[in-house]
Amino acid sequence: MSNPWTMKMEQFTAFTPQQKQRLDALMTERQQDYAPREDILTEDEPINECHVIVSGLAARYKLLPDGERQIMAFLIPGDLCDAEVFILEKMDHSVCAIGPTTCALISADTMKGLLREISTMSEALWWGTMTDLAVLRERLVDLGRRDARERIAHLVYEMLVRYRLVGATGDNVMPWPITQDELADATGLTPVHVSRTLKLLRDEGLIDPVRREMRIVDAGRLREAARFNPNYLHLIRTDEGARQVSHRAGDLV
Amino acid sequence: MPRYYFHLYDGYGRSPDPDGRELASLDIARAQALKGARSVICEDVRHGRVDLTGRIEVLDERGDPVLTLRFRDAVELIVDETDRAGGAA
Repeated sequence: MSNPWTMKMEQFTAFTPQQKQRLDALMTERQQDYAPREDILTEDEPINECHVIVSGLAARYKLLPDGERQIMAFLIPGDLCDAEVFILEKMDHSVCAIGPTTCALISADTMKGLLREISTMSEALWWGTMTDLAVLRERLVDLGRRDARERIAHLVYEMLVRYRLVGATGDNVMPWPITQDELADATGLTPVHVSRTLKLLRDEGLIDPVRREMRIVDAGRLREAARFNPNYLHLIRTDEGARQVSHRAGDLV
Repeated sequence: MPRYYFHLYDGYGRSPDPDGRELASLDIARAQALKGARSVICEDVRHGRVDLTGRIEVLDERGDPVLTLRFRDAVELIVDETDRAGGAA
């Protein structure tokens, strides 16, 4: 089994066994652990190296002066926290761990070397950034046009697809360290509203959230409730039927 | 900071708050409950119904109730008196 970063990029590009070894090494060479709610990147602070999530779950967020928080994205294993490392002087937002999280640290110089060594790497990173933006666009659609039930159904379904693609789960159960407060900050709802919506989805027999885990009871009906169209995840090689990648997505897309 | 739990009781039954939230004071907990109640009422209105029979029960860390916020205390209701006979009262 490959590392989740490689698996994410494999949805777009294919790597040789040697290239995979190189990426595997980078994911294990230097790692850092973060406790829940600990910042991985902090707004207004400089970034010197890339952070790739190896395990756990993180959130991209902004804090408002009154203490209110908006979570813009959840980052799962294989996601790059800071593709902007080459361009940005300082972070314009923060990233924190949601559950216990481990990141691989890759220096900007190493990353530049990697882009030279592996010819398809820059395209793969570009594809990854584009997909992250597409996920962000869905959050925008959430806030503008989806009601509470659709928002949560969509997010849960999307997380399951993403977890499957990087091999973090093979069935319909996924890690879910996200509290109702954090889910509220990510969906623009209040925690009480999130609580009721989760209860309704559970009563309808679509999901079963238990402590730190989310079980999808009826993926087909959850997909309907979310009005989910996977096109924005740009699963190019999944569509082409690249055997391993499409096997991971299974019947979800 | 003390931790408060916000359990919702409404037409759909009980929606539990398993994790709770650390808040500086009971006043802030009251404000959060109010905001929560109003958000749920809003969603219902969006779907064409107003149910003010719900409530939010706030418990402290020991599980003791410290506050109940009834939905009907969360909004000011302005109704045309001539409609009252057949309506909401």
